[in-house]
Amino acid sequence: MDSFESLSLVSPWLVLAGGILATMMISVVRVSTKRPAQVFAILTLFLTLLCCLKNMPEGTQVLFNGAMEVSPLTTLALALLSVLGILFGFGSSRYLTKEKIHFSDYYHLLLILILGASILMCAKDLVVMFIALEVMSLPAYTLAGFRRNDARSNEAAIKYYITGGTLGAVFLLGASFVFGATGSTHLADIFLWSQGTTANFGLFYVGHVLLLIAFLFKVAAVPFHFWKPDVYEGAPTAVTGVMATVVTMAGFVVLARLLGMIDSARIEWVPYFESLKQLIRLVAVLSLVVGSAVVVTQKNLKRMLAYSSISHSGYLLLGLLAAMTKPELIYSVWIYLFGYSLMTCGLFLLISQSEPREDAGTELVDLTGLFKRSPFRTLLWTIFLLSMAGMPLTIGFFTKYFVFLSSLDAGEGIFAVVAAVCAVVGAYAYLRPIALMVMRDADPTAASFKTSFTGQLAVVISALGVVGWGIMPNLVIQILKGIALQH
Amino acid sequence: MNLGFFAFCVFSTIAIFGALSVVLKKNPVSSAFALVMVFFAFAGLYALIGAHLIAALQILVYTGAIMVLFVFVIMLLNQDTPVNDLKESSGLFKGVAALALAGLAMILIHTVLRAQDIVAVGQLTEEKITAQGGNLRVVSEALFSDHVFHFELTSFLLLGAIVSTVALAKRKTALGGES
Repeated sequence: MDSFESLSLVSPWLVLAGGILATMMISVVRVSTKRPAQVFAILTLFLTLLCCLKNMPEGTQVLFNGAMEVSPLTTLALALLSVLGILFGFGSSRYLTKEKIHFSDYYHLLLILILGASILMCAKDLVVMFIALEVMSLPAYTLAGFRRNDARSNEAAIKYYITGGTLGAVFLLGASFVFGATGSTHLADIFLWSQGTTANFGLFYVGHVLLLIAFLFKVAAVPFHFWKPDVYEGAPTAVTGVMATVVTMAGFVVLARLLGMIDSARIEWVPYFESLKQLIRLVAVLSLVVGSAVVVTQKNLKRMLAYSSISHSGYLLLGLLAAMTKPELIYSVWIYLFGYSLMTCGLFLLISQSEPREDAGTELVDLTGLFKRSPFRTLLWTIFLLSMAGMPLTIGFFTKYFVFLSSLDAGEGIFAVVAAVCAVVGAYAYLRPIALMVMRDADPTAASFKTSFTGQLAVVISALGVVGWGIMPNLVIQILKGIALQH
Repeated sequence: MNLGFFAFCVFSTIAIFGALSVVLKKNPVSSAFALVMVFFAFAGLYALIGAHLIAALQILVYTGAIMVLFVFVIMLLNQDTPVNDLKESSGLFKGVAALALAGLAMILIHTVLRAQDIVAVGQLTEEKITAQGGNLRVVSEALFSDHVFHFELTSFLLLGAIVSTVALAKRKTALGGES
């Protein structure tokens, strides 16, 4: 591979990195308004998206001495991150202005977060993985504490920072054990080691499990979930949306990579791999049960979505579990991640449109009688909530369907049943707001909903994505399946 | 008993007791100075395994720069009264933390005791480093050739940290509401 070809492979990342610098420059030139930063950030993400679509790699290419791997999956994931970034860039300016936190820094940090997440997904080296994790996490901590005058936002930032710092330390501890056992931080070298080694695996086991725990923390699977509801509630809504989509996505891609770190087909690894499966089974079932049970009891919409995302982590872990038995089943995880980010993005943008009366967050009761006040907005809410509940004709149905299908395929039928029961319980939580919106009379004390044209456009685009994909699932799913096979 | 093993025992003991007193001391300043002790002990351990550059960096960066910052922050916050009292935290949390710690320690000790055949598996042996011209040369060559991608990525980490700091430390009058 000549250098020009490899340059074109990484061009989306280069464009994004250059765009960050350009956006920062332009913010310095004019300080009186935030428009230039917003326009430049969206332009950067748009160019990155175009670059991704134009330079789709064929097969997996390893770059930078094995530090980074570019595959159709990683490029497509960056394209999706760019789309999410564009939607949040358009959708959150009114919210930020309302909260008096509309700084250019929001856009800089958003771009750096996306860069970190996209490199994290490509990382083939434990050191790169750690640095990219921090590049992604630092802006997220800051953004969570962006409402500096609000105690809950400060609490969210501190909690997120401390849990994030702890998991970073756990990751480093694990990485150093793995390095001590294998003599390399490159995942490719570690895979070779796992094929040929006859040494004692003890040190590696400890390190590998610590690495997994760090990322189970990041995706907030039960029992590592306790920080999530407070952080989701306290962080500014537009930021919570970014955290729920971008960070979750990167976290699961890395989990998949870490699980594929050793040659599980080799007979010496089978007992260890089986016990890893038990660990994932346990965490997945706990996440599903706790997430779905608690989501029903929540009154605050952001807390509700926090628990909902914990249960979604459970479904995603089931997908990973299936992929541990049959690697090609990993496509169900990609489908879930893509669909989940799109609907979560829309839902958080909708919540950020609300203007609650007091300082309290948006409560469930604020939706009472929304249909009488604003039918179109009710339609949008309904689309996203139905998708979350997993109704047919939305992506939510197909994401869950493929996880169930691959669980059955991998012989984890009992877990598919557990997941289905949890899906039914969870559906109650998502259908209740719809009933509140449509069947009740308008409540004069409920929060009003206001948005700008571009903000509503962003929501409509993600709603179209949710429904469009739900009606014609084959197109995208074939692409993702093809990628999963190549991967 | 050779000298290396003796030094290892001394440094490890200092490190473990230092780390314990970082957590257990009530006065933040004592904690900070216990941390200095831990850093020094670690520098000694690094020097023992032949990583002289890391030992020097440990003293320069951690003891020199980071600890001075720590002490400055403590001074600026004016928190020299005891606040870090473990007695105030709930017994349940202490119990869970102790259990988790004991579990982790048991797993580690078990692993280390069982893995008699843990050997140095990296490519750089001591002879090789000496042949290539010492620690500093080997590290810099690796940093700017094989690991140049890591190096460049770190610059974005620092960029993110700077923007974060500015965003959080801005004066309150700068809080802007216009679009």
